[in-house]
Amino acid sequence: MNTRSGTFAKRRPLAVISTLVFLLFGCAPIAQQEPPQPASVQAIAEGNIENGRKLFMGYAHFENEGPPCMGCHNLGENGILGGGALGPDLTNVSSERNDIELASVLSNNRWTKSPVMEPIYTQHPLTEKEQADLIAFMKSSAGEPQEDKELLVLGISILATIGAAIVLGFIYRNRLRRIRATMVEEAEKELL
Amino acid sequence: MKVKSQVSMVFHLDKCIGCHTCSIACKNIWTDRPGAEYMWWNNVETKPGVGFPTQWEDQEKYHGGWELEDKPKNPQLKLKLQNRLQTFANLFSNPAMPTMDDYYEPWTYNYNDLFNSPLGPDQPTARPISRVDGNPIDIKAGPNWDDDLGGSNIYAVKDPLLADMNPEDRQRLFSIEQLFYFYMPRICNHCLNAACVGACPSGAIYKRAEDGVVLINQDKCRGWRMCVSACPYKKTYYNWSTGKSEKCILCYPRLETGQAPACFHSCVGRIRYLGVLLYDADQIPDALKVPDEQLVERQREMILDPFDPKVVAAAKESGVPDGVIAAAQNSPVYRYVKEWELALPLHPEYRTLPMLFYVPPLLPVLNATQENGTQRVETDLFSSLEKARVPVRYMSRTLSAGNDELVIKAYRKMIAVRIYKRHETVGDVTAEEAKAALEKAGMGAEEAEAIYRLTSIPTYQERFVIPPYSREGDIEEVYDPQQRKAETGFGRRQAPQRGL
Repeated sequence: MNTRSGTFAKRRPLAVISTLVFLLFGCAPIAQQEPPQPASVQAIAEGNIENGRKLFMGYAHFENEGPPCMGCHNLGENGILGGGALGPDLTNVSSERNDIELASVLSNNRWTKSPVMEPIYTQHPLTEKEQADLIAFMKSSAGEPQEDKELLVLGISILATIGAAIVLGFIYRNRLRRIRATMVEEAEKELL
Repeated sequence: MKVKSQVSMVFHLDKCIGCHTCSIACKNIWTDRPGAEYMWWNNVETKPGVGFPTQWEDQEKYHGGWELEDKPKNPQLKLKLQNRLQTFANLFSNPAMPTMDDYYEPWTYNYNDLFNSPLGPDQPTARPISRVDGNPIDIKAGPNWDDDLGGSNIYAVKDPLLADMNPEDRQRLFSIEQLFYFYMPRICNHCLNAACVGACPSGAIYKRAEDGVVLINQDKCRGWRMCVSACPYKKTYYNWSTGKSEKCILCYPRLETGQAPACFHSCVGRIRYLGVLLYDADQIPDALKVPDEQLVERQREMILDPFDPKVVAAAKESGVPDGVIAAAQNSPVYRYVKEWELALPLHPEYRTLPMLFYVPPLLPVLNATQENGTQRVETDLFSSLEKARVPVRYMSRTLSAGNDELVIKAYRKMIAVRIYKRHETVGDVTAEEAKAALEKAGMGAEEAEAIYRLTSIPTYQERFVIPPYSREGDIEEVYDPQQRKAETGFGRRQAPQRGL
């Protein structure tokens, strides 16, 4: 490795320039992004519950490609396995927080911010319409029974792991294993 | 007729003293690198014994080599390991992969302990440490762990070749007066129908056109390790450091510069012969679809007579250079394998057409009878051959896929040569006895003399007839050799490092 490959040495300036060009223009849109706006009171009033449900559960995509809420939050009876357990349960969130606070969290702007959601949704901000739909959905769910499905998920995971181990163990039951050690152990047993 | 040339080998087991010099020569040149410590491209095994890796001959466990389909009509050859679909399904988990323990965990010693230990009443010791993870280990096995343990009731009794012998014969082999062992040096056989080539999902293994050396392209190898499982001789090894598989390269850089491979060159007993064989590639498919007992004879049929004008003409037409044809005519391997039929391939029943041939060992040297305080050679050995210490059955399981006749024929010739030379040099065997011995072996005095000369007193040039290589010259015609001057050379991107 004393000498450097000839072709690469010649092309190095080109590689440096292309990297700089990428840094200048490739990163520009992120730097110029405007801070997202919280949904207005008027917009919230027009929120669509069904649309909000789809966005929450991930059936519909957010316009700026943010992850669906269900990844971290549980809400009422959404889905067999429920939502994620990282964030708080949002079933009765509308009775604890008013619309403006909710819109503030969802947009990472103004009064209330979530330390977890802020870094995620700053890159992928929610539009006003999306915020309004989600708030409408959260309001509609108030009072639904809160179910903890973590044990169910854990149980299914354990069973699936055991099942996979059994199936793979059966498929590979004739695999090669421990020839030398087994041979020596058997021979030593016979000799004793 | 499609004539191709193959650099082939003969190992004369009667001359092997089991010194392992070949293994060390190979290790020093090629496998003294991290990840390659456990590899022995050349190793010497004691037979009967379990070999390296443990019980490699037991293909019910290791699934190496080829087998004929179980069909009455037109059976095809298939890998014992797996078919294409199974190769794909098992890509990430090769079920027939030997574990490190079946080879052995390579180790070194912590020599620093000898110098850095505090002053105390005891001598410091250098503890063995693993060369894989650097932790202290208890050494449980090594590459020739059962060396010389021919009668061992841990190792030798577990020789897979003894499995189908009847219990009385086995008992006899392990009784104290009947004990025997011999050495079996092994390198890659550079097979004509290599299972490693057939099993590689990446197409990284190839057989060189000009000399038939089987090589693994280190740039193409993706480390799936199917070759490790598929090779019935377990002569491809996985390098855990580079993530590629490696194998014996028959020292092709030495061959291309007219030198014998390192293990051949360094052989103390001069048991190794190297030369070119011309063979008919068109016969390969048919030669592999015969019953086990006929495999050796069919392989011999494939090997062509380099003195036959028809063969020479066909070879020239197939593009074999004149120099290679001349080398084939001088080849010691041709004489041992085809002319004298003394050398036999190792485990032809794996159907890979191995191109390394073994002359079976004639042990013990000869039964000697005591007559008035002098030793006399037993001349009537042919009737007692079946009672000889090394059972013919064992040798035929090793070298002729169970065909006893071929082994007996080779043994008769070897015995006849000895009796004939005893008559000539010592004189205690009468001319009639010598003549009778030669007749029983079916050969003349000239052939016996030729066998004696090539076996006992061959020169370097007679043992190694290396064909002229035109590779460098051919490359220079297309590429300027100065073009890559002062660069890293060809191929490897990492400089080779020596030692730990």
